[in-house]
Amino acid sequence: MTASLIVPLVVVLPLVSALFVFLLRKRHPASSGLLALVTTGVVFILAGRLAALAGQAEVVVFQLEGLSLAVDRIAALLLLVFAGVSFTVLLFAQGLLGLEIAPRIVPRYYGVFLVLLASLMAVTVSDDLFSMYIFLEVVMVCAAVLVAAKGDKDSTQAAVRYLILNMVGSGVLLMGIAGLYVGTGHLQLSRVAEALPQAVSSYSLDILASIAMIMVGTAVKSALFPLHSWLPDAHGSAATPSSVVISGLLVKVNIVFLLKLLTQALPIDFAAQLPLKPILLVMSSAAILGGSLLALKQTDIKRMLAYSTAAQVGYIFLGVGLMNENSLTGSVFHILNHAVVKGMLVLAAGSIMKLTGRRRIADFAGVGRRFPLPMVVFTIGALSMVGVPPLSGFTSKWYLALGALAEGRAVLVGVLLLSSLLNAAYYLPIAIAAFFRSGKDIEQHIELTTGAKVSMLVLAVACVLIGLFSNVTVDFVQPAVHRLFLGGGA
Amino acid sequence: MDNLFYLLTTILFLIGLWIVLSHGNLVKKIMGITIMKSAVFLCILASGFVHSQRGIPNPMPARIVIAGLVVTTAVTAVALALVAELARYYGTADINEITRLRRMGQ
Repeated sequence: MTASLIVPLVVVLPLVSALFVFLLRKRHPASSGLLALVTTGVVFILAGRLAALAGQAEVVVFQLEGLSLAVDRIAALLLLVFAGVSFTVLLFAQGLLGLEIAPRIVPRYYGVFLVLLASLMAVTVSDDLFSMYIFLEVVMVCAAVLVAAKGDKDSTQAAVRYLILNMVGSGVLLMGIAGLYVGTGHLQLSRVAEALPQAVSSYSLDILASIAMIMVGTAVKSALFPLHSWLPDAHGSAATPSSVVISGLLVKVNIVFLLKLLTQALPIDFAAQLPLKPILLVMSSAAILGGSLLALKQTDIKRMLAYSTAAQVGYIFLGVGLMNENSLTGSVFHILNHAVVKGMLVLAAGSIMKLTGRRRIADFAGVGRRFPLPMVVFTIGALSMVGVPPLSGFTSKWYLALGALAEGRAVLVGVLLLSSLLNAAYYLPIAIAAFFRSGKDIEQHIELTTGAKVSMLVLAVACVLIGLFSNVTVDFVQPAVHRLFLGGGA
Repeated sequence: MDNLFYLLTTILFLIGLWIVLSHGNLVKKIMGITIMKSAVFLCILASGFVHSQRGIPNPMPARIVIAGLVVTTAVTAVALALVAELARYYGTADINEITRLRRMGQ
């Protein structure tokens, strides 16, 4: 019982801490950043403990009255990723955030950040469709606030665009959830799975329409390719920590929702009857190639990273769409991998932007000689994105390719290879120009804080270690994925 | 009779969606979104009456809807605040107008 108390604690702790940040923001504005950092660190340790427990017992369940929270190995890994990336972002933000947004609102920024973290955790541990929807809404609105925090024309416009599009997306998602609820009479994922076969026999059209609506809503909210139009603006104009939150966490949590719904609420044999697979595969291939091609055209570094995120979302959806053990392992691994790597890339690009005052890709020549640390981190991240073997990007592509071959769809392996080439085509020239071309009069505008340097190094080391010891993560996730296919959903 | 609820709420939902898509004014778009979500909440509430046992409506949908309304209100408030901020910058809340002004600014 005491061990399972950790499950609600990872949600409650950031919320309580956010409350303190808001209460103390007038009297001790300087302490808010530290409080947020320490809380996130504690949450990370708790998530690590949960992962260890899930490693022993497969599923950690917390039950109180009508509330039941379940953490299986996949959820534990996701908790660890969300907390870890939040921790490094907050570490990066400590000294630098005040340069990007008005110092007056910095404490409130941390408060909203903590609420967002709590909701991310809540979506991951919850097993009830409606609670997940509620927390997705909280995540969405917090992210809009984080984007708008910069307070200039561009970021306000981006935040409005993001919020309106996502509100429409969540309206459609809500209609889908309501349809499932009316059809099956349940909201808990496992109960929905039990009631679904009977519901399908009496109202097959309604259930199909509901699932389609949930897919569309999630696709908008997770920026799947043709519906990604809010991502570049929001990503490009927000402060650097907010950009990491958008690419690394916000987009992911919606995929986590879809993953939980597809694997736990829809019985596998039922899901196989739906025309889900071809639709998801076509959309994800379009996302992978379309996102990469658009990234190639960008001149602004942050917008390029945003389009790259749109492409990487395609990878994750590809694994979900293939729906076999290897591909799902690849998807979960890629959620981890992309959160870490995109965190590195955005933090490195953000610190270069602050150091030099430049954000056009063409102006990056020679930057690597002047400021080696951020550029080395950027290069490691770029190589991982391309999928160079010892780094983490290789492993996720490997499992996705294995999954595609198991389905006999060799075309998708071609898509993966082509996108690796495209990734190389837009990432590597930046790194090469930064190190081997000389730039003219690069001035140093600010001093990087130790926290910022450490946060980038931590992510870079994590990226290399995850890649070198990828079998640890894969062995951790695979039993849980295997269990999903045995029909014993959490 | 049972299906009438669902038919009407679906029509209401589509009206909301149509408002979102057809109006350029951001405040009207937010109104449309509110109508969409209200339609869904009505649909959930109606299901409690349709599946009622011995004339007592199922209380579960009402509990869900209250939670949903609270979060929807909060989201709408933030969205309106952001639109107000945007309107202060551009002097209009019409998205087409704002896009035109931004193009001219570049």
